[in-house]
Amino acid sequence: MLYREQARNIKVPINHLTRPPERGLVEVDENNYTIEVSLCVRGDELDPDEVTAALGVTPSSSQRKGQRVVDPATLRRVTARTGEWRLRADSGSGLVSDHVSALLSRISVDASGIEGLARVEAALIDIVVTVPADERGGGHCEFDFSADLLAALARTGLPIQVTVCVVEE
Amino acid sequence: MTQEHKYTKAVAIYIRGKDLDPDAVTRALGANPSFYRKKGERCVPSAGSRSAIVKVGVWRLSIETDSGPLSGDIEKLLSIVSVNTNVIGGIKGVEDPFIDVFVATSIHGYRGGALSVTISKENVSSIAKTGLPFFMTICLTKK
Repeated sequence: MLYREQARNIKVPINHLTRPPERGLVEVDENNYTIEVSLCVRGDELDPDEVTAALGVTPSSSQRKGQRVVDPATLRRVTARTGEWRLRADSGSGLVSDHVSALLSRISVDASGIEGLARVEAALIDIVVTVPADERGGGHCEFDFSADLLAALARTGLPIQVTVCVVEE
Repeated sequence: MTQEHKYTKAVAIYIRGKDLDPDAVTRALGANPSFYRKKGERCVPSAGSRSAIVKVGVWRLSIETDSGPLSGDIEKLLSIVSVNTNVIGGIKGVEDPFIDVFVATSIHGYRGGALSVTISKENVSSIAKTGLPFFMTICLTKK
């Protein structure tokens, strides 16, 4: 929920500001928004095969530092600056929570153990939502997690990074 | 969170209910709210608008800042009151309790922009221990 007093400062649509949050509903138009939720493990000396063996699941993508890879943002071939192991959620839902649930269903072990692996420098649940710019050039994303989903996230022992990208076409 | 942009943050515990008595929440939690409304009282929803009768009782405790890490705000909020479903469930009239996080910033790029917010593992654990649902809103506005 956004506050009225903040509404005057940030100039987002007033109907959004005054609307009470509705559980289970995320303001995502499946035709315009993209949601990507993944478990991301990074480290300069990371051995992706080691993470795969520890978690018992094949990553959606992985790289070692120094490897030639395609930058997904620019589609150019670049040299990887760090090692990375990434498992993406497989969900066609327009709800962020569904993507998180789908991801957690694929991680069968306590993921906090990932941080204990040698050469792992960071591990996190990575949520990226891309929204088209509104008529003012801004955008927003709103989502909710149930108490059960939060408990499941807490059991992973991992931080959550949420990135919202506003794209003007 | 991106450091180059000024941002607004608010973290809050919301408790609502048609028959909620905000004073009962204050007594049960031992903390004064930042905002409350009692069912049946008159209020002015926003500046310049007509007064209205409150239909749902609201009790909100919030921390609003424009600097510092979000994680500190969340820990501070949850340290003020010991919130969990057992405590809240014992308060008459509670229908809709939740934890709310709101972050807003302005963007300057002519082709859009982005904002990243990290919820630390300690935050995730603390919020999960409340047993309450969690709402998050991230808002980017064009300068």
